[in-house]
Amino acid sequence: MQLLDVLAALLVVGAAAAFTFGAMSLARASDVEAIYALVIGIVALRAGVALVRPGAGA
Amino acid sequence: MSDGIDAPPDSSGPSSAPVSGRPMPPRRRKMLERIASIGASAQAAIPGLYAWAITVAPAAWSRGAPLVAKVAALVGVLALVTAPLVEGAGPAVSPDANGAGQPPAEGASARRPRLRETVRGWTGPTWARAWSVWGFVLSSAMVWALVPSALSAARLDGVRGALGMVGWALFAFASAGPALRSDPSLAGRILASTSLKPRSALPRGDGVYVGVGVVLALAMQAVGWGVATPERAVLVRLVTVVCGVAVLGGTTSIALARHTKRIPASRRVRLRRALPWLVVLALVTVSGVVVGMAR
Repeated sequence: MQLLDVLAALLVVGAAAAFTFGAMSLARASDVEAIYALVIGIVALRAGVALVRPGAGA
Repeated sequence: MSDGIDAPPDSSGPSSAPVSGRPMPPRRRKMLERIASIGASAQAAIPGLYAWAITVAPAAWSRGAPLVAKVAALVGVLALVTAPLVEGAGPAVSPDANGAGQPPAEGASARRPRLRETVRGWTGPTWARAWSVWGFVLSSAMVWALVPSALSAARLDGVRGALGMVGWALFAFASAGPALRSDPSLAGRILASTSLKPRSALPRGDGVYVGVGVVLALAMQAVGWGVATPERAVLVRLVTVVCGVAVLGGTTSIALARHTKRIPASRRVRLRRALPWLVVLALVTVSGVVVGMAR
């Protein structure tokens, strides 16, 4: 397992944590915090998947 | 309901051997044969239990329901659950079936069979149907008669009532129809051959990726169950479900990426491809921290 694979796994786990935090903020009616956390989760998840995607093309 | 019992498929025939050519373990084969020979009462028990859970149990365990109603409801479940055992315990063929093809004796043609003779000629499936249908229906009717207020429009939800009707209709259909059995002619279409070889061996570890994704997705579902406002509670549930699906999709993509046989991308290419997302992530995170500190 390469370093980038570890980074990708950390990003996915971080995305899950951000999603959870966003849902908790949404339950507390803190909508701005929720949107912020959900955006972070989406971006982290996309970054994690893009890191492990095989193939030479962009 | 079919009173005649089909013989179980011959285990020594070609159907007993799987396509891969490996012999099936005898214990597993015996279990599959028992499942295949399941009767109509067992098939009717599933929608019956569904109808019981929706229409009978809430009435029996409603506020103010007497103890007799609860006992009657339990008798209904007992009738459904034990009917397959009755079906297997009774005779498969009627004792009077041997003489069924013979012409009636002289002077006995006009005589109708008595009730005792009729009951004595019942087979196991007939007993099971009588026990399943009448035991369940009568006990349910007793529950509803003892707790009539449970079926009033004020206490019975419309959707639940409609689903209960569907359950009762399925129970009636499964009780009246013959047991679904496998087509014996299909066994002849199976061709025994050598073991199929996979094109490539899948590396291990996929279960770990999917398992981690499932755990993360399930952990999100534990959030937001104490929200008082219904609209916000629905929104939280929707968001957690969507986020769980997204995380599960991400972990599955990572697991599948390990199997791809394409040209592996170099570390630089992978980093360059993910760089826009990493930059956006850093920007969003830093801006959030800055805004949080400025407040």
